[in-house]
Amino acid sequence: MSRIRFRALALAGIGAFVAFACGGGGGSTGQDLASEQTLHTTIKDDIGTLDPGHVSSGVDISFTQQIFSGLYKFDQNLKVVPDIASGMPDVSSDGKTYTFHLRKGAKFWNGDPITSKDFLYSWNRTTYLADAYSTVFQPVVGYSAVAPDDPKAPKAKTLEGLTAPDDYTIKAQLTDPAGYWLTELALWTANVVDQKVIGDYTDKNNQANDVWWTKPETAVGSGPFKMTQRTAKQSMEFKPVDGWWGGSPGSLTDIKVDIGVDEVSAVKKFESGGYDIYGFANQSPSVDDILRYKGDPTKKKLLHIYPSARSSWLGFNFQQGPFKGIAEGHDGRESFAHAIDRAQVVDIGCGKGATCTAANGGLIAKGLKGYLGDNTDPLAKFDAAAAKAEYQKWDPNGAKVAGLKLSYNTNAVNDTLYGNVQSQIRANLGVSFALDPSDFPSLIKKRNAKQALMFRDSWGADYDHPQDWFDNLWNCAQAKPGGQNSAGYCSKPVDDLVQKADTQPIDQAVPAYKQAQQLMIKDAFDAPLTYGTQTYLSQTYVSGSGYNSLYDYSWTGYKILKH
Amino acid sequence: MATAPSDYVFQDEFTADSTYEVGEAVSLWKDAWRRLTSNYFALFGLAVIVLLLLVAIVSQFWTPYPTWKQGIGPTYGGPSAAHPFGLDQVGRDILSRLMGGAAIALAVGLGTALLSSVIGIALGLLAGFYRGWVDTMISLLINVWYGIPDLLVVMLFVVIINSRELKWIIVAISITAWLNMARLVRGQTLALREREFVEAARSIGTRDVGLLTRHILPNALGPIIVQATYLIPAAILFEAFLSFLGLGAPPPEPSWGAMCAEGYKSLQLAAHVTLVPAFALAITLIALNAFGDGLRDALDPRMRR
Repeated sequence: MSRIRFRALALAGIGAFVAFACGGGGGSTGQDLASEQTLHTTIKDDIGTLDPGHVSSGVDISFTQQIFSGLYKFDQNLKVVPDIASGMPDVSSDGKTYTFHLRKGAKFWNGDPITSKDFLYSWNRTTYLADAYSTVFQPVVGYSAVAPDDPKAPKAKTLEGLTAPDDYTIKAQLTDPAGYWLTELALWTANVVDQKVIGDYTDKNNQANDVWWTKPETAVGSGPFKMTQRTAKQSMEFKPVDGWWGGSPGSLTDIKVDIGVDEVSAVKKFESGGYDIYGFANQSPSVDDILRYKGDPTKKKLLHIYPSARSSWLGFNFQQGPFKGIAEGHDGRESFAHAIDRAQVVDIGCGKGATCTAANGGLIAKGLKGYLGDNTDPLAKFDAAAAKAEYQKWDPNGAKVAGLKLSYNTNAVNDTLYGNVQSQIRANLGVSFALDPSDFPSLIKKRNAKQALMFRDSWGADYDHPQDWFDNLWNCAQAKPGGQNSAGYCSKPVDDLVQKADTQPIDQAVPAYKQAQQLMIKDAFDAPLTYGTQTYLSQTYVSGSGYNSLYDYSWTGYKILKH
Repeated sequence: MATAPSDYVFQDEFTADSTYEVGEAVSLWKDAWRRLTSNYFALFGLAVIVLLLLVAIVSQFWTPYPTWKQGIGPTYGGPSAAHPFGLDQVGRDILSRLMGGAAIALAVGLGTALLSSVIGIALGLLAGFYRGWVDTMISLLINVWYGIPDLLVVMLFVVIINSRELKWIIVAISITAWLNMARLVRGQTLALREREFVEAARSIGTRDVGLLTRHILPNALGPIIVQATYLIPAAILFEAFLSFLGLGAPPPEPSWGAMCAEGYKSLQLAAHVTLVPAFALAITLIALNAFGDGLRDALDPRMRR
């Protein structure tokens, strides 16, 4: 018995040593931590909101995810994992009833306990506010009564399909099976907020409903960090929550964020040691700075370029103009796609790969579910001779493309990128067309009206699920005038596959989404161009920073090492 | 009629003597040419202009590489045998674009000078010749137009027309460039309309159009030509500025201003992308101004020997 006890003690000792040496988390770590665990960084424009019911911009999302939590969250590999939920939900056999179980002991940083009623309040409120991401609750029974299409129509206050049988159970009844809903629930939109702080969200005179997130004392969340100071357009400060219900919030003791620093000044201050990281919350150094860092062996170590969930392609109008019709315009679209050398696009249009990479694995960006794999998209294959032969067969005298324009929203990156596309198509097909730059709203309007014949198209994923791409961009419902399917592409086989996949759990659904993408490639849907990137500058003594295609890593994993 | 008193003695200085040199009888234009050719700075200007014209003409038929073609070589590539002026930020040959840019610069300069001269001369002649309410209205228009910033007028025009084709850029700049010409011609006309030869022509029944085109305009031509030569560099500079702002000739047209704008952000990385077109622009402007100054001196009657 004493021998066993000795062995147990020895094992425990070894275990403790290994945990210490590997920096197993919390305050105890094998890495030499600096005595000062304050992270300094900056953002150019102030946040718009930290209210999960309203948040939609990349900058706001980055901070919201640090200070709020929900039933589920994404891990660093974008896998949906339980957060306040005690496990994955029980889903009925028809896929229409979800039962969630909450872990006990979760609470807001002000000490208020979190129960299922808080989730019902938060989800009903988000739906009632009817902002950009309230559609997360669209699958729930009663959504249209709380968020009717007509904003002037009378609104119900709560979702009929949501119930709380007890303090730690939530039941959700969906109108139709929605395999993607679990992914949506891991979004900030479904995070829980404190009803005791915000009050009645249906009362127009309740000012707290609008401003609660602006002040540190009322910006109450249940995430590992809390806001401790905010001066609009100047600075923000965050600290870890003492006794956080989720465990240790990590090593950082303070996060200081300057607001209103442009990218060039930010990089200068980073170089002088004023900032520990730069790139958090969708900030990015200028192309010239990225190239400067790439070209300097010492600085190169501080530069980290991650794939981001944005895909850009040259779109064609399937409803009018030279590329009209799935079969009729096929060869024209395909010849244009094959006439573009992606290596040149990246070299010139992406500042030698500083701002984007070649799109050659399908429409869904690299790093996301539904990505077809490197070099798997035949439309991304450059073959100038074959492209010219195909084009000349399709349009022997150039009459079809006479007067053609390429519509895009103007900015430095797009001007260069689409200037390059124009040059390549002229060089490789002999087709000259004008560029038609405009502001972004004008481009959207033109595209949605199906008036643009050839155009810049792009999508930044909201979450890691192919449904986000197909249902927003490529189905027949969106192909009608006003819909977001800019190409006006409508294919029944694609729609059928997607509709079925939408009802299935993600693992079963992904092959169907990929098959749908293959059909679109067969139809020469687009000329693929680029996938986005997110650039980080991180001092060598900062560990744990990074980006996972969609979101910044949690501050809980950050460490400031001795330097 | 007053007569000289009988005891009036003619002063000696009014009589020719053997030491007085009588000027050679030459026409204004011949004399102007002689003086122009003896002005080396003006000749330098003329030589550059001729070279520019040749390059502009040649560029319409041949450039080492297409001016629009990207990816010919490495982006920001420095000068080499294949690309004497290097490559720009998208791998285009800068020499080819410089040649193409010469044609644009000259088209804008000459086009604007011509169009704004036509407007300015017409309005100046009318105001100076008819005076009265016509002069009042035209002078008012000129004064009001002077009060509006040129850049604002051109930007509004470009936005309203919604086209950045070269012809519209020329029209846009001309709209703001005719004022000085109109003022000059008005002043010349006001002076010339009182001269004896105009009175004589009027007395034999010459109509207004004939007076203006056959008597007044030809006699005002010297200052008009000088003014027109100054319009050319001003228009080239304006177009370059517009292109720098992104309102000039549309990409990939090789406007020198656009070339400067495209390269200035990478000045530290590849200075040649900006410096080459900036140098071409500077040399051209110096040459045109030198030639303009030479012409002014040559055509100025006060400097006639």
